Amino acid sequence: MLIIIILTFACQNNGDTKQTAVENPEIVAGSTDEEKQFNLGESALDFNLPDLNGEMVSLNSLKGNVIVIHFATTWCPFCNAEAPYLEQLYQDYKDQGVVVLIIDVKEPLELVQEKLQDKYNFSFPLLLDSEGLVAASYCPPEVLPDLERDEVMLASNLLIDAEGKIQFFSLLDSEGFDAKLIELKAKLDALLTSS
Amino acid sequence: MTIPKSQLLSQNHMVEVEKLPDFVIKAGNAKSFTIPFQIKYGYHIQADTVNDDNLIAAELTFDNISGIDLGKLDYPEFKEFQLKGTEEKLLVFDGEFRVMVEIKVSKSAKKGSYSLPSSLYYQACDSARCLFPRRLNFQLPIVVSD
Repeated sequence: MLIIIILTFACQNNGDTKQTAVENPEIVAGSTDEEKQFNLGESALDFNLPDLNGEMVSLNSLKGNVIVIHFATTWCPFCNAEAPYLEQLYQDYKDQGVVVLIIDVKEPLELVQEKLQDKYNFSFPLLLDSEGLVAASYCPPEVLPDLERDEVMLASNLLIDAEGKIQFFSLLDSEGFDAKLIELKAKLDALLTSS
Repeated sequence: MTIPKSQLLSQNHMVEVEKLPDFVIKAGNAKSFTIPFQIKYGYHIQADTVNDDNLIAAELTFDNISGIDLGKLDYPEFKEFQLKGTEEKLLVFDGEFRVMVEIKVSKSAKKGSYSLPSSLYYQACDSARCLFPRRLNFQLPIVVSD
């Protein structure tokens, strides 16, 4: 089962040159060169967050699956535009074991239930990062340092392979906004093919 | 009376209130005034009207001061912001925008200077980020004259 988690991507730059199951992992980040200096191929940081039913979901428990994560809030215009395509992606790939998660940042359960789950009828879990700590943990420290770390991560997408390595990361880029997740799906297809 | 610097933009705000002259109005009268806002270059905020209930519309609110009431609020015309790669259009303000507010002073209001606590609640994005909603607090300088 593949799990797709889009959201946060942990940036640990220790100079490792680890090989991953997929060659040429791709970072699709913001428009600056600095934002492209993400370390793909690194292990995604574990987290343990509740879903809308209060059940805890940990990233490590999903190892062995390909995971797509999207960090969102109810009011984020880009997150709302992407929402139906995330559901479609899940429907298209769930039989291949791909898992999709939305991590909502710093909003109450009732709001997320009404504004996201009830509106879009997602078939995959929505997790509550009520303090924004998970989002912040994945944020590259050098990107937009004047902003809050969890704020930088809103509307970002992540792809984690079955070994728990980050293979794709995209921060919001309104000029190149990919609501239909074309680039993510291309990477996902390549990952599934190679595995 | 100008707005003290400390009441203006915090480092984390994307909107600021421009320097406001005193809003002078006679007791028993109503008068409209303009509040000019400046949005940081590169950013836009959702307008007072949104086409998706999930989005956060800009909203100007005021506290109560005895003898001073707020009447009609007129927001400017919004601009359309196309979300690339989608059919979605956001309704936004960018650059400078001005809100006209009608202030009504009762006949019994005492002559003098008043600072009316006010706030603009807004949600801003630029080309690469959507920021958490923020509340910009400021004071409206009102002078009630004879």
